[in-house]
Amino acid sequence: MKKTVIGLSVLLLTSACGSLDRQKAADFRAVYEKGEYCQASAVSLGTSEYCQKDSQVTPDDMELLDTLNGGSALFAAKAFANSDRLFAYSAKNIDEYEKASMLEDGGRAAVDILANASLHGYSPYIMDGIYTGAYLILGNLALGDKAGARIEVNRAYQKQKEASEVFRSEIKEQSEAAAKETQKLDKDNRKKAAKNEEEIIAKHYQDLKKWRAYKDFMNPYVTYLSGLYLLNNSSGAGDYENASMYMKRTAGMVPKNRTVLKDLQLAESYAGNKAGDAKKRRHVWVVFENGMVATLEALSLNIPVFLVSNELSMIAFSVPKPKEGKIAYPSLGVSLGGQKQVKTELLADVDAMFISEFNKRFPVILSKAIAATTFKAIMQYQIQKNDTNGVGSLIMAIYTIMTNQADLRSWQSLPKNVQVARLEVKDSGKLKLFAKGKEIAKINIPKDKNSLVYVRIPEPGAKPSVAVMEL
Amino acid sequence: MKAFTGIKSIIFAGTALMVSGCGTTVVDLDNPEEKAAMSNVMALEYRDFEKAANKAVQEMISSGAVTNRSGGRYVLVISRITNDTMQKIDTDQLIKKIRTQLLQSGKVVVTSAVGLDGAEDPMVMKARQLRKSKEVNQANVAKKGTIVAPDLSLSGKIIQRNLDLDFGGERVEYYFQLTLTDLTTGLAIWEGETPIIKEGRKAPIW
Repeated sequence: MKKTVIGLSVLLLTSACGSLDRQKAADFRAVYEKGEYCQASAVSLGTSEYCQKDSQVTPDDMELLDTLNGGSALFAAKAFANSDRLFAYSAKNIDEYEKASMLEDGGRAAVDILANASLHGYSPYIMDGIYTGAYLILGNLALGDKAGARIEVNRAYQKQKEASEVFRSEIKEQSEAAAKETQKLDKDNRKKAAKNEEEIIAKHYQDLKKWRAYKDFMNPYVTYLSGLYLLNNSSGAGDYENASMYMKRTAGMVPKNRTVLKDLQLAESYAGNKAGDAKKRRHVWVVFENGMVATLEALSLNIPVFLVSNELSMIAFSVPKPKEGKIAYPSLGVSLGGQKQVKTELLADVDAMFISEFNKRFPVILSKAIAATTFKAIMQYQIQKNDTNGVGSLIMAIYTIMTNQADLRSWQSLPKNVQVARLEVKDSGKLKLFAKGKEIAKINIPKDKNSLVYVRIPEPGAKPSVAVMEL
Repeated sequence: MKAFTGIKSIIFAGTALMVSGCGTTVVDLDNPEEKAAMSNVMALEYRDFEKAANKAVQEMISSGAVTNRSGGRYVLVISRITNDTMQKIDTDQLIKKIRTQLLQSGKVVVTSAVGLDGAEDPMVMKARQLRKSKEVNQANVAKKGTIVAPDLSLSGKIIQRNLDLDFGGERVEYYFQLTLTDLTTGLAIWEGETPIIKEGRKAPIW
């Protein structure tokens, strides 16, 4: 009995971490949305000093979610060297996690069953690893390290190539572990669990089916940046061919984007050595990270469970459900000198990428949550039945309430969508950005070189973060 | 008690030293057997650069591309070597070996005064600024027009391809591609490629 109480107390203490995670996420988002990026980095990393140019972050032992959120906060704060360190560390961690999950024997899933998913380290989405590639390419360009950017282009390609296989392995492993746990339940509860699963999806998750992203976890933003890099930094004919291939793939994902189609034409003319004077023209590309990505909210439900034969009891638990993100502006207006203003166009729907991956993962999440809830309810009932002094029952009851919480963690500093525009640089190097017809930023860009302007606006009215990178 | 603690510390330190010593193998790179017995890795390593450099130099020499028919030695400049892999490697690891061997062949000298991003050795230009100094004996200050222009340029690319094998495991293919260009004519007078193929697990992305 003593051992059980100690064991449960330890789990109880650790389960409090889930609540702390949620508070930290809320604190982070509150400041990030307002464009207070250094403050946001302080919430994630425990200090705002990494915003300073002379500081150097050493991310060893930092939590993955902190390095992802902290990395994007520092990126928007234009602390590119530290942001790059955090993203490189994150990408390596994600890679190790994915490789391990391909080999793991279900140990991670078993932890979910015993407690709840938010007790252990953040399990990254496939899209997290791929999106990190965008910041690594941009970060290297911002730091003037074009050779480094090329390495990131290659890594991003490999990451996207492996995505489907990694996802299949992860889901297979988690499904097997969840099935193993469901097998621990008696026959009646197994049947009930399957029915509960069907009913919950039919009743509460049908509205999410409309979210469709790109095939095989492809991220058009990363693919496009790779094409743009090679178009501007070719080391031979092969690079132009690859630039053309990247642009073709991007155009396949966002066929209505006119900028991408123009870039595809340009890349094809370079690859076919038909560009002629077009090579002498200078361009500026504007990428706009718009709004805030979807987040996960807790959906509280009651499910019927057989605690004793033929007697159903309603047990409370919660599961995650995505809530659509919000844009800052429908698009940005971009003008250069006396040229006609152009509007940014949709390049990547990040909400769709997140929600569609969630949809693919959710049946396993739900199956695990139902198995865990049922198992704990039966355990609680058994303890109550044999408990003489009531201490064990009390601890078990509190533990069950706390550990039946949904895991709501995600990389929440991502934008809702990414947009792009391209302008030819003629006589003026003064680029202006407009939101809803009002000028929001004026930037100097190089007149003699191609460049990329990165813009981040998390919510309407927030001060835009703007960085100019030479291509 | 103090003495006992001291003895314990010595025993502990000695044991730690022995244990840590057991896990370390120092490879003598001049010993071909030891070098061949080094553990294999999927990432690019010492032996790969050495193999690629040796092959390139041998081919360059045997092709006659670096033999100056008018006598004397060609002056070579190192152009861009693109790292098109997924690993942060220093392309100088490859180039240094090629330079050293070409220099030893007696057929080529490499210029440090010219480079894509300025002189490889900035002292070449810095030393010329001494011409204005009254403190420096001008007898051995480099005169105008003494830097030798390069005859040949060496450029290249290191490419990486990760492939999944049908029955599990991965293959990493590396290609060391080099081109020697005659700077007078702009013609590529020698081209070579050394593929390095490795099979195993955990093809490097990092």
